Amino acid sequence: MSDVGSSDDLPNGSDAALAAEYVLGLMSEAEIEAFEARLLKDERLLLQVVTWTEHLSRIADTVPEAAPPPSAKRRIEAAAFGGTAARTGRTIWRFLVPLGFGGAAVAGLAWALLTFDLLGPGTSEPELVADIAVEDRALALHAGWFADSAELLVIREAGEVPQGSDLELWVIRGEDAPVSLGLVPRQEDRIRYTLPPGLSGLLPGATLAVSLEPQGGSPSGAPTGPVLGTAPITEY
Amino acid sequence: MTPQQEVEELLARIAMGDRRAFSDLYDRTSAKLFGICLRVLRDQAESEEALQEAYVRIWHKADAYRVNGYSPMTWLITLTRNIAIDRRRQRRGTPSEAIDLAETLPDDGPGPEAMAAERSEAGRLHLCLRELPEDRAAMVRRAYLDGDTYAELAAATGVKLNTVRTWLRRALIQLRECLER
Repeated sequence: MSDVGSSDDLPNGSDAALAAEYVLGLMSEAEIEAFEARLLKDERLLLQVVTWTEHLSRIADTVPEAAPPPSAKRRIEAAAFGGTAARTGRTIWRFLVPLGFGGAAVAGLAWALLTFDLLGPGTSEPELVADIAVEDRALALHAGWFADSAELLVIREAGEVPQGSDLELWVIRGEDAPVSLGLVPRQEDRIRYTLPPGLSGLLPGATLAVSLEPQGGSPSGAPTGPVLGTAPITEY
Repeated sequence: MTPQQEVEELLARIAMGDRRAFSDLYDRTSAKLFGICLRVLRDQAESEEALQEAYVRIWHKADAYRVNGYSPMTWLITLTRNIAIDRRRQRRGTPSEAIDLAETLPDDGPGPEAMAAERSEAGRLHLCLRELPEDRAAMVRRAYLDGDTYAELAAATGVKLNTVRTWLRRALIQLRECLER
């Protein structure tokens, strides 16, 4: 840190010059360390740094703009949002994590969270979510309700729809008869249903269930096959 | 709202974890920031990586810009420029000296109001750079956009390192005096 503060030939402007060198990145590591130690205590020096940063950033005005390739945005959002979930764990816990679900499943939930946010219609986050895990079938389903667009997004994260039959989703409210929401997609891993207002009104506080049904869904409008799994519908 | 206020508003929402705001900010600023990455790194793939690093940091650090007193575009430009310079120096084996404004400055910096006034003087820096001897102005630009160190500036100009340093410091002080007029 030989040169810090030793600008004897520049008595009036040495701090201004140092601050500019700092902003430009011209200092050695030792000089940076000494300068930053001063910055913490010297508000005028800090103001010099901020002012230089503002001024010198105008050099970037001369640089032509260039649109990044379209694929970059998706990747960047995945990196940013994925990093958040992995790092803090904060948003993961907004999902119900069923008992017995291991670490891999938690990673899956983070993925589902990400998927909701990247693909969710109308708004960036669902109001209500439910996650069903059927361990013996290695089946994992996520559902998210987007009030803005009145859409239910269903994601089949793991497992298959069995050949010759279908998986049907139901909303169950208290003692009332289950109401069908639709079928779990067989080919795609996700599907969006637009729900009529009467049906969406049933969702808060209700239970989401999945049952095994004949191909095409229950012929009677009520579950006919075994209920494979259920999950509470919770606020996201 | 002015464009500056709009970007400020987006950063405030990003600080609260608003992903839609992040998407909007990206749409508004990515061409500017990618242009800077390309200018510094001169490589498409590396620039894409730098751009990603910049936006990931914006996502995580959006709450930091305001407390440090930068105007929003300055914060975005500086953060991106520093990441790109850092990568360029790593590539050529120079120890990293680029600074991270979001992390190195204390939280009680001067407010943004004074800075906003300066930012509105759009052409001021370029005007003042023109008052410098051409080779000195070029050094400032090279340091900012190419991340040149004193050693590299010395090699490029064929002048001794200490001389280059004295020249550039004088030029910076002259520049500062012009900017304050």
